[in-house]
Amino acid sequence: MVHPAPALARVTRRSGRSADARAGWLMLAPTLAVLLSFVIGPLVLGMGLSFTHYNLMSGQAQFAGVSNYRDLFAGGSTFWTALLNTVLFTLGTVVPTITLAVFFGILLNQQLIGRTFYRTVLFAPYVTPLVGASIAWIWLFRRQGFVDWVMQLFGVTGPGWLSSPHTALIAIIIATLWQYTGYFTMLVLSGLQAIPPDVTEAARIDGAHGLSLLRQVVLPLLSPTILFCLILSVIQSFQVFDQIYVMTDGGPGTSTLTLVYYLYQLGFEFFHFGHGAAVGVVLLAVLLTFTALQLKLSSRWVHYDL
Amino acid sequence: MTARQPLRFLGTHAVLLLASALILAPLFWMLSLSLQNASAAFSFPPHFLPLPPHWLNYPAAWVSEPFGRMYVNSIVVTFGIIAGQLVTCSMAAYALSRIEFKGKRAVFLVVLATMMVPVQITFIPAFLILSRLGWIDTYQALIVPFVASGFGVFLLRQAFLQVPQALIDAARIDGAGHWTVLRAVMVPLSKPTLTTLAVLSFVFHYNDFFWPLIVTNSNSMRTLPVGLTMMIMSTGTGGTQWNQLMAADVFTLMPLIILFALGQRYLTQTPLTTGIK
Amino acid sequence: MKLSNGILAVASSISLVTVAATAQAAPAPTPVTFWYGLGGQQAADVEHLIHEFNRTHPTIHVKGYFAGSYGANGPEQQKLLASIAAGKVPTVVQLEIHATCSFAAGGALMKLNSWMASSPHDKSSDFIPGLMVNTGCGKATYGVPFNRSVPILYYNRAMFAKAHIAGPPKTWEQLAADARKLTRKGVVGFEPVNQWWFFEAMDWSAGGQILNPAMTKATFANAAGARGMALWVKMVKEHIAYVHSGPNDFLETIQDFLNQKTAMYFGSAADMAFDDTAKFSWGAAYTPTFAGHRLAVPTGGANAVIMAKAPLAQRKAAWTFVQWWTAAPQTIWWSEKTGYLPVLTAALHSSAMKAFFKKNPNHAVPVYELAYAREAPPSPHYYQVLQDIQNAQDDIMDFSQTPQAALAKAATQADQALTGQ
Repeated sequence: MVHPAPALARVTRRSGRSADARAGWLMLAPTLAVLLSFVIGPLVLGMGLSFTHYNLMSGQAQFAGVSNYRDLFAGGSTFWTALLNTVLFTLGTVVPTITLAVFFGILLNQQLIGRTFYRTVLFAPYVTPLVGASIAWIWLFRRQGFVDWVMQLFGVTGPGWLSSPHTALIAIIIATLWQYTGYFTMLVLSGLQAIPPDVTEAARIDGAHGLSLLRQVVLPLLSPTILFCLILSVIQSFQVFDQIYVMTDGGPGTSTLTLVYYLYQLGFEFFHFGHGAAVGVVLLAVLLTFTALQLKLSSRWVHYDL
Repeated sequence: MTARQPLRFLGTHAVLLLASALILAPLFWMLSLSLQNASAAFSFPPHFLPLPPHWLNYPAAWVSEPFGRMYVNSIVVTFGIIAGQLVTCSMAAYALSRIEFKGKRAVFLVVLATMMVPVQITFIPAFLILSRLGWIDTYQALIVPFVASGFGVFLLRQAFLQVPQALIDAARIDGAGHWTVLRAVMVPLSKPTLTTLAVLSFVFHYNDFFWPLIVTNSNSMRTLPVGLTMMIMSTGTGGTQWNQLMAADVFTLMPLIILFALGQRYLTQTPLTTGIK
Repeated sequence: MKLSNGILAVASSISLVTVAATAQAAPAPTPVTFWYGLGGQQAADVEHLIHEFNRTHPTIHVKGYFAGSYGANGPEQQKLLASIAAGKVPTVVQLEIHATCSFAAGGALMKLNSWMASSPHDKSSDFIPGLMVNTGCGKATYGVPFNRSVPILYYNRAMFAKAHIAGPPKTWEQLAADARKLTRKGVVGFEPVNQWWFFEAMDWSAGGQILNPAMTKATFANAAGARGMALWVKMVKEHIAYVHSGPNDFLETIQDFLNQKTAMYFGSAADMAFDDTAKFSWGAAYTPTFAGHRLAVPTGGANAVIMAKAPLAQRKAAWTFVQWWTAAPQTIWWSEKTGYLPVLTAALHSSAMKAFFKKNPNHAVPVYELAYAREAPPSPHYYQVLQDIQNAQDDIMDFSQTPQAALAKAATQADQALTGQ
C-alpha cells in the first residue's frame, strides 16, 4: 500500500523540518490532486459563474455583477422559502437524530441478548438504496397507504402525508430519520466503545449509578463524538436533495423546496446556471459559518479529557 | 448483569423490539410488495402477507434490466473507491495529524470545507474535466473523482491523533521514517476506523444515483441504483411494475444487509473520542 | 469551452482516421447515438424499433441509451446539458417538447427545415397538423414529433348508462352536472389530475392565454385562468369530484378509474394502453371546453431532435433513422403499443391504422382531437412559468388560496422569470 522505503525515511529524519514538510506534502498530494480537480476547482469556477448570466448551452457567460445575489435576497423571493424549509428540515432532523442515536447507542453498548440483531436492524435503513427507499416511502405515505392505514387503526384520518403542504416536509423528515438514525447510532457506539471500562468502573466505585453515571461520566466522555455527529448531520441536512428529488420535487407548492433543490431547479430545470450557483455559494457560506460557530461554542460543552 | 435486573432487561428489550418493528415495517412492506401482484401497491387496506407469494417477480425483475452486469459494476466501482480512499485518506490523515509543516492548518480547513460543497454546483465543471480526459462512460469516471474524501481524511485524522505519541517516538528512534510509521504503527492501530471508513464509503457509493447516471451512457457501465430508475415508466402512462421494482430493490439491498450483519462488530469499534481538535 | 471544441476536433479527426482506415476493409456503418427517456416496457419498445432499423439498414448503426426520464425535472436534460458543455453530444435525442426552444436558443439543436422540405414523407405538411406545434421556435423547426399526446377525458360507459347519461360531456358546465348524477357511495363523478398541462387546456378553452404574444408577460391571472380552477374547487367542495395530490397523483387517478372509484377522469392519451387493461367498457372523449368557447388543447410528450454539434455524416444517418421511425409501419406499431399518437397523416389513412381504429375506436379520439391543438408559448423561460402555475394550482386545490389570489401571485413570479436576463 504505502512504500516503506527505509533509506528515504532515514534521510527524512536527518534533514529535519524541510524533509518533514516534503513528506507531509507528498502524503497530501493524492488527496489534494483529486479534491482540487473535482471539488475545489469546480467550486471556484461555480463561484465565478455566480456573478454571470451563464448559458450552459452556448457556453457564453455574461458578467452580471451581483445581480444574481440581489435577485435571491429580494423580498418575496423563493429563496427565502427555500432557506426557511431548509432550516426547518435541519432542526427537524438533527435534534431527533442525535438524541435517538445517543439513546440507542447507550442501549446497544450493553451486553445484550440479540445485540447483533438490533444493530443490524438499526443500520439496515442506512444501507437501503435511497432511490428504492424513497419510492417505498412514496407508497407508504400515499393517501390510503400504509401509514394512513396505521393511523386509521388508532381512529385518526391520515392527512395524505405527501399531498398536503402542511405535512409533506414532516413526511420527508420521518423518512430521513428512518434512513440516517442507524448511521449516527453506529458513530455513537464507536465513541462509547472507546471509553475505557476502568473509567466507568472507577466512577461506579465512587458511587455514580444510572442516570448520574450517564450524565457525569459517559456523556462528557462522549461529547467529542456527539459534536462530530452534530456537525456531520447539520451538513447533511443542509444539503438534503435526493429524498426531495425522488419524493416530492419540492412540492406540493413550494412546501418542500430546499436550498439544494432550489439550486438544482434554477440551474438545471430553468437553465439559469449563474443564479443557481449563487444559491450554492450562499449555502456554502451558511454552512461554513455555522460549522465554525459550532466548533467555537463547543469548548463550553465538549470535554476531551475526563 | 442482565439476569440480576429482570425489569431493566425487559424494559430494554421492549424498547428495542418496538424500535425494530418500526424500522423494519417499511422494509417488510417492500419485501411483501415484491411478492404480490402488480396492483397490490394500490390496495387499501394493504395486504400484508404475500399469499400466495409471487416468486416469479424476482426473475422477472432480474431480467428486466441487465442487473447482473450492474451488480458487477457496482462492486468494481465501490471497491475501487474504497481502495483508493483508504490509501489517500490515511496518507493525508497522517500528514495532517503527525507531521509539522507550514500551511498544515489551512490545508486541513480546506479539506474539511470540501465536505460542505453541494455536488449540484460542481458537477458540470467536474464533468468537463472527465470529458476532456475521455473518461465518460468508463470506470475511471465512476471511481477517480471519489478516491479522495474530506470526510475520510477527517475520520482517520481523529483516529491517528489517538495513537500514543510514545509509540511513534519509539518507532522513530528505531530509525523509522514517516512512511514506515504510517504503515507499521498507524494503520495497524487504526484498523477499526479504516473498516468504518470502508463500510460507510461502500454504502454511500453503492447507493449513489445521480453521478453514475450523468457520467455513464451505456447499460454495460451502469450501476444498480440507475437500474432501479430504469424500471420506472414515464408519468401518466401508469405501466410501472411496482412489485418488480420492489423485488429489484430487495436484491439490491440484500448484499449490504448481509455484509453489515457479518461486519458490524468491526464497525462499532471505531474510536472518535479525540473529537475535533 | 474553446478547449473542449479543440478536443472535440482532435477526437473527431481521430475517429475519422479510424473510419478511413477501416473503410478499406469493409464499409463501417455510420454510428448514431440515440438518447431516450422512457423506462420499463416503453424502453423495450424503443429498443425493439432500434433493432429493426439496424437490421434493415446495414450502413447505419443506431445505438440507444436510456438517459433518465425525459420530463422537465428528469435527469435526461441534465445529462444533455453536461454533454453539450463538454462538446461531446449524442446524435439524436428524445427531448421534452417545452425544452425545444431552450436548447435551440443556445444553438444546441440542428434546424431541420431544409431537410424536412426535401424529405419524401417527413415534410411539415406530412405530419398530422396539430402535432407540429412545439416542434420549433418561430419559423425554425428543430424537432420531429416522437411520442406525443393530448389531454383526454375518460369515462366509464356502464356508470353513464346507469345514470341515464347518453354520452360524454362536451362542456365543463355539462361535466359538472353529469358528475353530480354519477356520484354515489364509493364513487365520485370526476377526478382531474391537478397538473399544469390541464390548466393550459382549461385556460385556453375559456378564451385565455398563458402569455402575451411577445412572451414578456403572464396573462393567465384573470377570469379565464381562474374559471376552470374555481369549478374544480366547487366540485370538490360539493364532493362530486376528488383531486389527488402528491407524487403519484397521476397514477392514483388512473387507478381510481380502473377500480371504478371515479366515473370520469381527465388524463392523457398516453394512458390509453394502460386503460386498455380495464375490466369494464370505457370511452375516451375530447377535453371539455367552456360553453361558447372553442376547444383548445396543449400537446405533450417529446420530439426527436438532432444535435447541431454532431458530425454531419452522423446527423444525416440520424435523419434517415428519424424518417424511418415516423414512417407509417413504425408509427402505427408504436402507437398501438404505447397509446402515443401516430404522427403521419399517411399512417392515419393506411388500412392497417383504419382497421386498428375500427377495432379500438377510443384510440382514434386523440388523433381527431389534434384539430384543436394549440402551441404552448415557445419561450425559453416556459418551464419556470409552468412551475409557478403548478405551485398556484397546489395552493388552490389545498384551499389555502383562492384561484384569483394564487394565480395573481404566480403571474408576478412568472413576469420576473420572463423579464429577467
